[in-house]
Amino acid sequence: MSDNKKLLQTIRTADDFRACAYALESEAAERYAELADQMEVHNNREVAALFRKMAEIEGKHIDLVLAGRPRPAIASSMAFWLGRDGAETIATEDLHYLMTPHHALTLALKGEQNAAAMFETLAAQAPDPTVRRLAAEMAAEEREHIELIKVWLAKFPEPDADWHDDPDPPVFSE
Amino acid sequence: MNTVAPAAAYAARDYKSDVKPVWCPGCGDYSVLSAFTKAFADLGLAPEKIAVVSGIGCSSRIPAYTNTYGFHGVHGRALALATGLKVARPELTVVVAGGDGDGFSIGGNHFLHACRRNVDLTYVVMDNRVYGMTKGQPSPTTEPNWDSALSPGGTGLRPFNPLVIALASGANFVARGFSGDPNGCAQLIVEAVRHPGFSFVEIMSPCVTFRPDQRGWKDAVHPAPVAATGDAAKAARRLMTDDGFNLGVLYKGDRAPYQPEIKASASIADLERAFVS
Amino acid sequence: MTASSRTSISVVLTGSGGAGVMTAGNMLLDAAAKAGYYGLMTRSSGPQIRGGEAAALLRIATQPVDSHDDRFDIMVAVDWENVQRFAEEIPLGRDSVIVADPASGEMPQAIAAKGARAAAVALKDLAKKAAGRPNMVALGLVAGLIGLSEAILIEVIAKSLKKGDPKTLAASEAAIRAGLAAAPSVGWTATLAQPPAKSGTRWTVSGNHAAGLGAIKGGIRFVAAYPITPASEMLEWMAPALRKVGGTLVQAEDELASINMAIGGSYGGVPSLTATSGPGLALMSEAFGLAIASETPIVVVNVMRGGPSTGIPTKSEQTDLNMAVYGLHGDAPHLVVAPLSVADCQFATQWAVQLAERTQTPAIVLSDQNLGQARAIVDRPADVALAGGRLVEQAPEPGYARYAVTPSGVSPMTLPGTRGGQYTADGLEHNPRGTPSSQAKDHSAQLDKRARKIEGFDYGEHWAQIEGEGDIAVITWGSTTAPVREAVARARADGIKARLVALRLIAPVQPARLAAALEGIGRALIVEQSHGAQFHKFLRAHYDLPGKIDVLARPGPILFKPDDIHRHLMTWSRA
Repeated sequence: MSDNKKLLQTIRTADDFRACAYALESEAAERYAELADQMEVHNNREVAALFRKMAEIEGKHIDLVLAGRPRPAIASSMAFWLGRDGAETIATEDLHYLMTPHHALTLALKGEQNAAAMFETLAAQAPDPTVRRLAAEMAAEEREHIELIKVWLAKFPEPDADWHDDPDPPVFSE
Repeated sequence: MNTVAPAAAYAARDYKSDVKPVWCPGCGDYSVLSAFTKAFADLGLAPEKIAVVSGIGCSSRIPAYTNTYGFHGVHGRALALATGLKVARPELTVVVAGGDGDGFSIGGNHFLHACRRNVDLTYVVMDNRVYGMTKGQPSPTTEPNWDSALSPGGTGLRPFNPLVIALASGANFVARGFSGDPNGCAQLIVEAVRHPGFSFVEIMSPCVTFRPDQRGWKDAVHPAPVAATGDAAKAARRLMTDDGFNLGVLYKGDRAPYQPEIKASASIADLERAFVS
Repeated sequence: MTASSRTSISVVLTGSGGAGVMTAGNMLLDAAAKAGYYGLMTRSSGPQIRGGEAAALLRIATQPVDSHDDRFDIMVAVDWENVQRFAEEIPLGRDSVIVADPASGEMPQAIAAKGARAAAVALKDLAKKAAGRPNMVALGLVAGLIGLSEAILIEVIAKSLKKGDPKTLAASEAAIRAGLAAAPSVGWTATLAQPPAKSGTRWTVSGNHAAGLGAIKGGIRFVAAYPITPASEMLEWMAPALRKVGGTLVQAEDELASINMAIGGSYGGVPSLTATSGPGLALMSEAFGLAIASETPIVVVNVMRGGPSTGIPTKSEQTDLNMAVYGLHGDAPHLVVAPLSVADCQFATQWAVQLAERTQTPAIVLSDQNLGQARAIVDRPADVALAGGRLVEQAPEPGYARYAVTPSGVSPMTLPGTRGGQYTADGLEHNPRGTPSSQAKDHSAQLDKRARKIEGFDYGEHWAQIEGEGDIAVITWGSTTAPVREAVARARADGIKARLVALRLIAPVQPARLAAALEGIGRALIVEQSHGAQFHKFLRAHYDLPGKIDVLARPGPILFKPDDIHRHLMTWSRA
């Protein structure tokens, strides 16, 4: 998180928090779904399935945030949470059509750790007690998610240096 | 401070078609697509009232991935297509998309005149400093010493400076974004669409396949140190000394957009009268 | 010489350096129109922007005429500067008269060699005395020679100098009177016969302007323009005209932009057009293919000029036929329509617009410099009710497919702004929904549909003009139709019966219709203005022709005269 002060300034009430968390989680869910699509189109089934799973988990986080309430609109003033240093933004330059589950999980881990840090900051420092409580809940959820990722990561050690070798040259279509 | 806005008419996903992009994973264009859809949602425009017009190249595939009207035209001519559409149908929001090859090489002439003409269009160029679709040749914005099969050792040519050219030719809005910040790009696009006249937004969009060296862009980009100016001379000085990585709105002019009035004042019979012997 | 009455008299005015022969020629034509005559005027000039040598070539007749006669009867030379440039375009005979100002010096050999009678009138001197200009003296002189009244000339002059100062008007009138007074001294006795009683409206119009009107009548409301000789006048006429009827014209930066802008306007639902000549059409070919592939109707009016390459911009030829029909990559069926006369420029362009809109296929209108820049006095063309327009889908249902395969081949088209009808038009081959596809079945289906929609269309009787009976046919197209028609009429008078077949629809080809038109025909003469005989080869490629064929093919810049074709026809028909 690049600016904790700004975070604490913009998230005052419980409603603010839910909007922020909803924005984060839906952004993440859409992002993982898109990544799953990209991997499918590029015939990387294993990682596609992994990203689908991540999207599902984010979906569960969304349900948690909403807790039956209607979906809040995401104002453009909230955009900075989702910006370059946004909590769950996946660094797109680390994607590769031949990426292995190890790479995918490493990326996801970074994203989730950012999100957890953000929720932990709010849990500790937000003035409003409801916000602190809600943030603590989300932080706990994220920490569980992080543990899950670490377990999966253990099953997929770093691959050999030639993981991205492709004997075929690029093909151009227009 | 209440940051919760009233429910919007459209969400970003309403502007995505069901066609899955074929861009390489890691391509900056994914973020630009995301920026488009977010911008359209922020603008609250009905998808059927938007047209995305493109040329040929990886970036130009974007119309098929949106749920708006669109035209995937021939190489370099998107601005002409878009001009005809917008002048004939001024109530539509017309966004032009393409890459640096399509826009500044074969499309260079139309770029100059589109800036001059100042029709109310928004032109988004996804600049990756390479011809991606045809396997990695230098483009007009490629660095002079970038080695390639078609130009071994580099072209040795000074790169084209689209922002300066846009400004000098009369563009009414000049901005630069970076695909690594899709929300920032969305905000630029919203502002560009809202600003009347010809708005030019260059989005640095790395090519993961042919320019892996562009990974370093995320550390090179930075917000412009000064706010946008409406003074063209000032903007010109800034842009001529620009490091290529200043992000944000760099110029906002006040030229009136070109839109001929469409209003009938006579009949065909009136026209025929002039031929009577 | 005994007085005689003629049904057609041809006059040429030459001069240079601001002599104003074009102005005088135009006024003469206007006067003839007011007097109830038909006629036409073409122009020829040197390459200078101003002050160059110029020739106004006119034919005035009691019946409609669409081409120049075999020779000019009267030539009035205001001066002799560089007139040899026009020598080959000004056929004169022993019975012709050349009136020149003695002050201009000796008649150049190129003109003297024609063997016409020479006469002298001191044009400059008379002009000076009237405080007017020599071209007005020449105008009055010609009117006096051929039998147009002073009153009509004065009326014409007053109309055209309306905004000028009264002194200029008075001087011009005086100069005209001086010219009229000098006419008897020339010793010319052939005047125009009385014209038939005027019924209906007459127009004085150029082919380019008629085409512009035809476009607007057909529904064009967006034009993108890039100037090129000899098409610029059409675009310049359309600029204010379109605005008046609620349309727009945008000047583009080049032909590539023009055609792409027109495609954009049409994609938006507004019938769109551009106009150009050969070099411009060549530039437009890629985008023309885009219009075909994306099924976006546009009309490109191509006013042909001498080719190849920069060629002869100010002269006419019929040599863009190959490019119009074949000049596209891929299998790219489309429409090509060619007007047959100045007046027909209106109908042919209107028809092309409506064909394009109905079939969602772009059309090329092949006019030429001869038609485009000639001004003719014509009967007001009849309003032809051409029904139908673009098939627009206004209430698309879920699953709407822009390029749905239909029996006619035409798919209902949604326009931007229509909810639920969004699609991306594409030059890439596509499936019925419009998504790019490289699949065989999609390519076949779309190729079939794009061909079927124009090949299965009923073009009615407009596809050609077929006149007369006989066992000989003369097959032609475009501006050669007029001299061919006159030649065939003369041949008939000489006892040779020939049928004229002039094609207006060049593409798609109509083999069944031509076969019917050539029923009973034993041999055919093909006449065209092309060194490479493009039309003959086109006919051979796509049509069954009778056993005996002769080809009269010549390049520009000299146009066919009726006599050229008549003599050839007589010789060949007896062979």
